[in-house]
Amino acid sequence: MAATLSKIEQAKAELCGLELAPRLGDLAAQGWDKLDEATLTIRLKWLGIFFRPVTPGRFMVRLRLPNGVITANQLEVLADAVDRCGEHGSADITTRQNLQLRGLLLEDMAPLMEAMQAVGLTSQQSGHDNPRNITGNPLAGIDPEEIVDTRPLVEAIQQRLLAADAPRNLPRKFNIAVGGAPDSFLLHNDLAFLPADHNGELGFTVMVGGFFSAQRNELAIPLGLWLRADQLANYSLATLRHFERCGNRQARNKSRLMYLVDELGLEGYREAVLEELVALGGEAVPHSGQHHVNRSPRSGLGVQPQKQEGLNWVGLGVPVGRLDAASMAELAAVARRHGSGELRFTEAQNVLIVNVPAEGVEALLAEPLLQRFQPEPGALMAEAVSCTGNRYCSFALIPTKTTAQAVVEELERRLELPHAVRSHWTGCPNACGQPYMGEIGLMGAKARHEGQMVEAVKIFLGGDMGADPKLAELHDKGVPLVLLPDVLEELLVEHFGARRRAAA
Amino acid sequence: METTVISALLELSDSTDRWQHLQLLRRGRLPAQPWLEQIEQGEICATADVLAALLGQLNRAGVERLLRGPVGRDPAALLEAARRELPSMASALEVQQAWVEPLLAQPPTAPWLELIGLFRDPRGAARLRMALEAADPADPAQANAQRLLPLLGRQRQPQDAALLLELALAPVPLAWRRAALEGLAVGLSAWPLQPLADGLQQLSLDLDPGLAAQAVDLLARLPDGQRQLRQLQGKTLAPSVVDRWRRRLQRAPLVLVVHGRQAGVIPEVLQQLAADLEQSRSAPVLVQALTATSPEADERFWWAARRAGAISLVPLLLLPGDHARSDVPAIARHWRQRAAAAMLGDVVVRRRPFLGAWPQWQHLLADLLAERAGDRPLAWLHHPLQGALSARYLSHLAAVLGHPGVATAYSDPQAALAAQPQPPAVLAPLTLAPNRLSESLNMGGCSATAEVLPPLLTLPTVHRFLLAQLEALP
Ligand code: SF4
Repeated sequence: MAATLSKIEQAKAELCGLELAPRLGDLAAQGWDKLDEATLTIRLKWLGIFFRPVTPGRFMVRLRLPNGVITANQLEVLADAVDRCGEHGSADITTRQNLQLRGLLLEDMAPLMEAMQAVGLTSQQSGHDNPRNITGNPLAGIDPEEIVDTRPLVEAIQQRLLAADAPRNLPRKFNIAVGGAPDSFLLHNDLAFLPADHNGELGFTVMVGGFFSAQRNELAIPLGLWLRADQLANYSLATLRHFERCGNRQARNKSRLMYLVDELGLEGYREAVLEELVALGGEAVPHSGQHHVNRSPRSGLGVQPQKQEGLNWVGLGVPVGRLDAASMAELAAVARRHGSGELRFTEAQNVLIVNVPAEGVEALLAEPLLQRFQPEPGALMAEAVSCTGNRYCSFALIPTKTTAQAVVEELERRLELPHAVRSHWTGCPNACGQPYMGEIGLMGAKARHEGQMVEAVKIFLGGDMGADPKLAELHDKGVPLVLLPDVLEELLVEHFGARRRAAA
Repeated sequence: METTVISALLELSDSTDRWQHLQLLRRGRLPAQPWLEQIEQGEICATADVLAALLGQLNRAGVERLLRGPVGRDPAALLEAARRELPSMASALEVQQAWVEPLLAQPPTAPWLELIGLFRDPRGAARLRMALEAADPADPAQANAQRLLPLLGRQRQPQDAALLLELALAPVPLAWRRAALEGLAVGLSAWPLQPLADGLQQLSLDLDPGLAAQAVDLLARLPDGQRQLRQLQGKTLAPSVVDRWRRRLQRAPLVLVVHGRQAGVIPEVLQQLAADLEQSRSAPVLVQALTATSPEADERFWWAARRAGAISLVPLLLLPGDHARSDVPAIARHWRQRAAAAMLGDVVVRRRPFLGAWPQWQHLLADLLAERAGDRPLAWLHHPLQGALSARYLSHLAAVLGHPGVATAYSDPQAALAAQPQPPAVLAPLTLAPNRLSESLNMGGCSATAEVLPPLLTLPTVHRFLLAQLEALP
């Protein structure tokens, strides 16, 4: 049987990456070139450490920030780590309300892990075949429209899933999210809990099987189960235990949860997980799948009143989610100076400073940092989401972040838009930038232009995260990057009500 | 049959299909042989994406065959593919067995050297070393050779530290120096410590702030990095590098012990000093009033304490009264207990002497009073102290300051002043921040007959002095 295991499955079965934690210092002294391929490219990801073939020797660390919440103290520790990397250092806000740090040396890992632990941060199991950062309502606890505060629920799920007895060798990555407001669009997750009533009681309906990949894209579907809030952690564990045991380990491109649901049938799958849940002492009841999520996500940008009288949050646009050490340190300082020292990251790769007293808003708006991270960015920049691209990812067909930023800036110079337009940029068919969720989706490609193979994008249109969710569909299969601003300008005028600005 | 499928797919206008097809090849789910044949026969173009997918799928015979064909004659696309793909597979035994020997059989010229440099192999390292020793950085035509420097670093052969350091420090084009420094960075733990530390210290003073900044960051990562960094104190660093150097110094968090006002309220000037210090030290600073309970230390404070291995307790007290003698040791004990309770391992609580005992402070005070008094009679006022030690201190201070001290009750300084043989024209209350004494001097009519100096910390010279002294503490 063992002989049939793939290289990845073998590596995972031989040694769990978590076992490497106490040896990080030694591994660094030995040099990363000495590490075997499996340790370098697979096992270290259990500690949240990523070897980047495009920048060999300069590693990435992906955190876990449950519900996207981070404190100024924590952000400062991370800023310090990035700062040590000088011009090699940077950080990205990810589409899972998370942060990843780039440019680190292997020597930095042991001290960084220790520093993170001291301020209550972890990067455990944030990559590869693991339950990824668990997302929730970025406005949890401060949202005037809140249905339920997702923070304690997300925290409880994370604690349960990272405990020593939880699965550590899943067949594939696993995304979990908890909804807490009418705009908690979460159907791109393998497992999403959406607020829903049962017999007049508020709880959660279970949605399963959402994912995007190069082969297949699905929105999560109702499983027909309802849970009380205190059951989410147990249910998540039951799901992972079942997935660990029964998920497909033969073909990685057919191993996300939806394939297992297909294989067992929705009913069969439900029964199997229920059995696992009951064994854990949990309970669930049948449910129609009706829920309270009925509109597309708010951007959360600008100054907005919290549900707490006299307090506001201020949402700042971070162009394509890219940060550097200085801006991280400054964000921490600004949050401490004007708010309660707490920040939130959104799935649209922006940042919120929360608990800002009304009388402090003006001073916050006058901070120089807000020239760069604007509370009211342009209609396209506000919701431009982008994956990493070829600066750091070897799958990429285009430099996603720089292209997205340059094209969006150019379009904002040319056009006026009546409302924000959500564009999702992704460097290759792996679709990490979730192109199918964008009103406009852009995917790196190659195309022939004037006799040459050139960098290009496919364009997808019509992604809808509202009451009647829909994935974007292919509109153009290859627009060379040089032509992209013109093509998008046309599209925005035709389909999104954009008006051309008068020539300067 | 198979080969037709490949060409057909590679010609597909939809680049996603092509990309997916290449991913299959890359994962070993398509046989590599037909691709090799097609490339050999010129039927498919060996572009970088095709080669990237093929790299890890070839055995030695396959590699030799590939290099005999068009790819060997023009290795540009191979190099582009290898730069992206090889680093993550170069440690796999099968990949090494397939590639190293055929690459060593190639001439020691630029693209082949870079390709062999992607593997960690002593023979490859020797080739890189030879090529770099013979290279002339001043010759623009040889600019490409600088790419070999980080690769040489990755080989982690201790003997190469000398070459990398020499180039990083040499008056050669900046790109070479940066590449050499990056070579040192990616092999950091392999180099002999002393020459490395010396070289990095020297580079920290470099006129190029980019190089100097990276050198400072690397120094901080060495096993005795903090000592190395402290040795840069007083050296001429570029302003942006000074900031970086400060950030890298792992400074202990400070607890400033001060006289609070009623109910432990901390006077504004002391709070401001703490805020300024926190910024300049990049480490937490707490202010503790003698009469109040210890302030809360947050996670950032404990983190800094743990990183620096210490907490520094600085009594900003001007006199050796009971507070300095018994309260401060009690406060220090208390912090020791808290550090132990926070399970911080080896964190020590360093107690500094009270401020009034610092010779630099006494001299600053002497200069300040001399300047303010000019030829006029001046008296400095303090609250009454008991015991021989205090008496010795007061007479020592009077000698240093060149003016008599007057002990007085804070609530009624008039009485003590009236008893003076010669009425002072300038009164200096010995206090850092506004307190009852400074207030009653101003309110009680003394200011009508004499100039009353403000609390010391409100004077910019004193604020600057304390900031500089406290900033310099480890
Ligand atoms: S979508 Fe492709 S290019 Fe972008 S991060 Fe994912 S794998 Fe890399």
